[in-house]
Amino acid sequence: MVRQHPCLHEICNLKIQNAGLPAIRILGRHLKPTTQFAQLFGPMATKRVLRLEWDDLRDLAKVGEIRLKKRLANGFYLVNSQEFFWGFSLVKEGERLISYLSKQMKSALLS
Amino acid sequence: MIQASDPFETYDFIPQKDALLDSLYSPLPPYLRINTLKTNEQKAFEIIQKEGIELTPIPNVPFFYRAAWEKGLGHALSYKVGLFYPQALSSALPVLALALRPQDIILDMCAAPGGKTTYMAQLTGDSSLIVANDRNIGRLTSLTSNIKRLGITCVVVSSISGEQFPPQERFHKVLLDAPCSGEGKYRLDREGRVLFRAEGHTNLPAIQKGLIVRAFDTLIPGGTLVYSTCTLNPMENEDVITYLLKKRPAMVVPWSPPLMSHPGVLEFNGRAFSKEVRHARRFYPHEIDSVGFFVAKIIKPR
Repeated sequence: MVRQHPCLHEICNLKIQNAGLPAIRILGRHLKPTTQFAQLFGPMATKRVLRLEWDDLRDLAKVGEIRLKKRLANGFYLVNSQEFFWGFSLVKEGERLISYLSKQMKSALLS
Repeated sequence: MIQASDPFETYDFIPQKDALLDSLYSPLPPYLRINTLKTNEQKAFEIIQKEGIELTPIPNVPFFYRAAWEKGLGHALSYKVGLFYPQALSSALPVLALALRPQDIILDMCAAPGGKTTYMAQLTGDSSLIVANDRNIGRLTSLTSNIKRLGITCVVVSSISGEQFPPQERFHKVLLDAPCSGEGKYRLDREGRVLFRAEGHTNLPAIQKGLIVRAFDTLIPGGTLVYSTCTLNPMENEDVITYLLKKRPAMVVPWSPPLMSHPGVLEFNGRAFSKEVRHARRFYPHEIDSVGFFVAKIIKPR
């Protein structure tokens, strides 16, 4: 994902190693937005944002799964805690929250 | 009192040189730059302070703070999630000299590990177009990881030898923070020996001269080149600028830095430099409490 710029074409003939931020990764047969994408677009999200207590977030990072206090619709959610977006996690069977947090975020949370 | 050794024996142009030599026995204080591309400055400030890191703002240097913490700043959670970048205060100077505007097309010719690149992205609100180049492919890993950690989308990374960078005139601003002997970072141990002195027999001035000419050639007419190093050696600073002035129709222009500074030196070891180098600025470690720096702002005439 690269910021749109009116002169982007002017640098197209350079030998580029990489550009902007990775926004999507292929996970099996699915596309998964990256943590960087979650952090960039999280503040603009109007739904599918799951706010967790700090200790619950750390448990999620440590154990890989926590039980939710109230039921939610199944699917992926942006995880927010302490006004910061940490990545994505998956709600299954309405109350199981399965971590899809990146290795970097897990290690940051558990350090 | 420890007898000071003098790694700058021939540099009689340094003001209050005894004070500089005394200062070399203490470590440099840590500084950090708050990253406003993930959250606003106030919120990031609060989160960082909550972690126990004491912050003191630096007047006139946007987003820079002096930091105090019992651990290394790289261990902080707020670092890992990209709320700040630990950075020497003086490395803000060449970026500020560029006077960036949103929508500028910018080349950072020797960009890794990306402290100045990411500061440029932040100052332009992630809305410019920055080519971050470094010939050393191994160092691109740290550059790319910093770009990701800080959440920057306006940077394109290339790995081309600076002297071979395509000379088409396409950049509004070019930063050449050249490889140098790093004398501005020198510290002394208890016995007065220089710690972390760069070893080797590389002819740095020759490399710097090749780089500055190519950096200048990539500018559009009216564009700005900033040449900087973290060394005090005039042969890597004023002499390199003088070489460019001989080779190209460049103009060194004055600028007002936010930290205490001195004009470029006009003569060293019997060698006279162009009078224009007086517009360049020298920053000494004992006066700014950070790494010593040299910054020259150069314009390509229309």
